Amino acid sequence: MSFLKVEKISHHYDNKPVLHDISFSLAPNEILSILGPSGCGKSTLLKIITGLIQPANGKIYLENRDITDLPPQKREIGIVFQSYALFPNLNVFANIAFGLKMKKFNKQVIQERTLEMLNLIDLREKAYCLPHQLSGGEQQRVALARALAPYPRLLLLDEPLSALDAKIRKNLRLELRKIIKAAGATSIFVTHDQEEAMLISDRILVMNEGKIEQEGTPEEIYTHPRNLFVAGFIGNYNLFSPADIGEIGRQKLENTFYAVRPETINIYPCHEGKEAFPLHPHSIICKGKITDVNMSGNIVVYSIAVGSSLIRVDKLNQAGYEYLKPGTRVIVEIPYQALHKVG
Amino acid sequence: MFKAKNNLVIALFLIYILLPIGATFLYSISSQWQNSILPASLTLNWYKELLGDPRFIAALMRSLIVGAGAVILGLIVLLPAVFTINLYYPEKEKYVSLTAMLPFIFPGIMLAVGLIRLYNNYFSFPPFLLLLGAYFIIIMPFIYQGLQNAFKSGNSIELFYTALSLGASPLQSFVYVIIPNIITSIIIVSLLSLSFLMGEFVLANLLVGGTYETVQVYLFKSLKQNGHLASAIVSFYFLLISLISILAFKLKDYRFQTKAETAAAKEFNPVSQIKIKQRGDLLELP
Repeated sequence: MSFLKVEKISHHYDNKPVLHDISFSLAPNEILSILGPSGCGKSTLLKIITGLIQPANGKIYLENRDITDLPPQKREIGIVFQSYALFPNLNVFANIAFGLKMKKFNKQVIQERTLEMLNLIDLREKAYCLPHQLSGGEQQRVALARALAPYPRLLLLDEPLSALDAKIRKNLRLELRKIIKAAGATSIFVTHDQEEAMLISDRILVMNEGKIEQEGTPEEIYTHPRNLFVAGFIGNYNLFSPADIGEIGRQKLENTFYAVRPETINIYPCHEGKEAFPLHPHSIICKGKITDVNMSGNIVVYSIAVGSSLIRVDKLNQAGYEYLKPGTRVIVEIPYQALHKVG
Repeated sequence: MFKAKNNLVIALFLIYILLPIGATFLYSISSQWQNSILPASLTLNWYKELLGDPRFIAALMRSLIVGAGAVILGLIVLLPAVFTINLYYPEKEKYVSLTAMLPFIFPGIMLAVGLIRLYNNYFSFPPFLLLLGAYFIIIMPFIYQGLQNAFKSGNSIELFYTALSLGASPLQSFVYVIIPNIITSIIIVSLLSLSFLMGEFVLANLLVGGTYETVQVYLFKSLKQNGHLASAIVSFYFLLISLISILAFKLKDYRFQTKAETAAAKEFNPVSQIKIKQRGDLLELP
């Protein structure tokens, strides 16, 4: 049974449609990511679920109860904004306790639950700090604790990590998932960062121009993108048109687009002789020239010109790995099983 | 060299600002100052005479009451209005902003004549209400723009949405979250408006004149009688406005006195010591 059911939600701003018949559901304790580029309608969808915007059409059910027309304060849905929106006039403790106070819990419960939340986010020593005295990461954790404190039935997070710098963001991704799972909160996480979505969520919903392009587990979305948009948005897929395939492999495949993950392509320096390499019997083989080499932490990214196409190849940067230099002529091996139809 | 130039500019600016105030004050405490560089002798008699005049005290109180009344009325009307526009109709804000600026377009004399004809001749409004209404209109641009800037710079909309999602009603969200976060702007805009109204003469003289004598009307009448007394009025008025400003800013800072407590709280572990109730306003929600 669905915990949250969103049914055919549509919305428009000034006659410009922003959401078209959006439907999806969410299981209890599940973390769902809504992933899409800026302006795709994901934040509008979040505001509609929270009740901050009334949809033009459609229904929202939370635990089988129609909440479409309920005001935000009666939905019991917590929200964390990108800016955190911590109340600047209240210290950390009072910020977290705010929701409990508004819901008229007794003082004992307010204190216990607030301290529980402070323990969960490991910020007991900052209980009396004002928001401006906290770092970005700490503010983010306080915003999360504040949203979780009044026992929300659903937690919504609107790009909560995007205001942080890269290093803190990386560290907080897994911590965020740990905290949400520890609190047992059913959550929707909105982001435009595919890596973030894959690390944090149990399921991903990819959106574009107000429509759902694909829905599935992170693995499904990554390994089997349904169409060109998803393949282009998720990961760093090489996208080949039928003409590209014809040029690269001199083979005739179906007249459709193909996506190939960069880590599935093999390259071998040409001068060592083609016969010496364990080439896959069912692969597209072609010759190319390395035009650029970039080191991105644990992987080495090669750009290889094959005819008029530029192919990206990722190789694991293992100990002792010898980089191929720009200008090196290489044999490129693309296994057929790595070709994924996205047309 | 660069620093010396900067200091010179600041010094010239301070002289430009403070010299008239100093000269007025000096004139107000001089017994006679006509054909000499400095006053012949100093005295506090003009202040004694001024504060002993019940007409002055009454005029001052009238100015304060009508000024504060107009500011309060302005805040009551404009605070929710500006917030609602920002929250629900942000695209209409430019039209409302233009409308709020209209009082700047009409000359004071036009406004006064129009108001007298309509409200005094036809409806016989009491002078206080007539002046209150006119003052509300002329401070509207100050209040509107001040509040608009406060809402725009303070992330108010997301704060409001967050409070709603935490179970607060729209009124609770507005009172507990929005107001405390724009209180500085409210104080500043109120003071600016009150200072402006305390010094307003044209409308007060044309609309109500002697029937509701404000401090500026009193000052105008005193100018004809005695320059020293007029200087004492200006100095007293300046001192009063300065005191109100200092007091208001002290009140504003009072909320953030928690910084000192915050520093003390760094050594305090709220988990091991349930002393929270003793820590006063820090734990108390508004």
